[in-house]
Amino acid sequence: MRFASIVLGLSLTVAAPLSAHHSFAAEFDASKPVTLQGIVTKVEWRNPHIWVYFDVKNPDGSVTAWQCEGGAPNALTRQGWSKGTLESGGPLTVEGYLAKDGSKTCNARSWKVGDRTVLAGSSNEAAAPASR
Amino acid sequence: MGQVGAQPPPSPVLTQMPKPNGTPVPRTPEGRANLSGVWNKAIHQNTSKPVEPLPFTPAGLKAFNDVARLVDPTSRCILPGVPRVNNSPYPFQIVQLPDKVIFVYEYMHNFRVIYTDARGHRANWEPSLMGDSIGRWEGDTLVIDTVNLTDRTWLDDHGNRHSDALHVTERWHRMSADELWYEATIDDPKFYTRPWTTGWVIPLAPSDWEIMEYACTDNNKDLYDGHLQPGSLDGSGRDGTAIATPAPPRL
Repeated sequence: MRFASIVLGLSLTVAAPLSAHHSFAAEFDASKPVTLQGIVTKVEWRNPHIWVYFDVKNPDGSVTAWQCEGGAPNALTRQGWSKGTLESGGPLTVEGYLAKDGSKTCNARSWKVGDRTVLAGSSNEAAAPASR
Repeated sequence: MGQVGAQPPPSPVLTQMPKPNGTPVPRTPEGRANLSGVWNKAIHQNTSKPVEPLPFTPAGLKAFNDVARLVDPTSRCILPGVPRVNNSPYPFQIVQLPDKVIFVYEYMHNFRVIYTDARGHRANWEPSLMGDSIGRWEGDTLVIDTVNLTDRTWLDDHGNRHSDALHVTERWHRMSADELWYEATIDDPKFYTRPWTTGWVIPLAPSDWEIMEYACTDNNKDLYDGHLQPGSLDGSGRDGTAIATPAPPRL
């Protein structure tokens, strides 16, 4: 059984800077990067960007429900992902930024399923940034 | 597919066209440069960056600073207007014909038909989000003249604004096989005391890219689930002056 882990303050090594999200500055804290591992419970494949809901198992055995906002559906399709890539019940690793309001919410910059990683989106890439 | 493919960084916002990469420009049977193709876009959030501070009129400065309390119209699926339609992270397709150039934009499922047959602006069109555009060729450069825009669109994610007096002149020039130069001159006497011009290089999309659907108003979580926020999309703030306060830095 995979152990969930939350790593605060992890410095991400993605070279290309991400564009600011439409409400990123208002909703998310750029100084609080986070890595989350959990089990997918729901995927909303919606415009302008997807939302993924997942359960993170904490070291003490409790479970916390998280939601993270990701890239644009079309951009994900072009990277070879589909609605079904993030399947309910499947494992997921998310790197992102925490919401300012203290809720278990993040803005994802990358998703990893098994050995497949897709960036949530960046203005420097073919993928759309999280704002669109 | 494992890792996402690496993409070159986008060109920054510039004040003039850079040097082409030397690959050959496709031509039409008539010998004109051919802009046709599916073009990728990298978003340029602040299209005024190389020419800041902008030469604001008092009304222009007020409009710029009002952004702090306004929701970006594209967040409500309002078409992006001109030139912002050419500045979004979704691809677009150009279909160049002898008497017109058709732009098919994935973002918001949008399009422009730019006639190059010497017709003038329309006398009976009401102001619109995308305006009244006509085109002409200056050698291998497509020049598009757009007037009759409403003031309901913004110029970019930074919240640069325009009035209903905006007159946009765009110049499209295919630099090489895979580079398209785009520049726009903003001539808006209500908001700016003189015109200003910036541009960027748009790369050709991967050869297998097709234009997909983007139905902004359908299944839109931001619109329906209360995620709309006032302020610029790039997170910049306003303090009443001609330069925005920067967005918080990211690690």
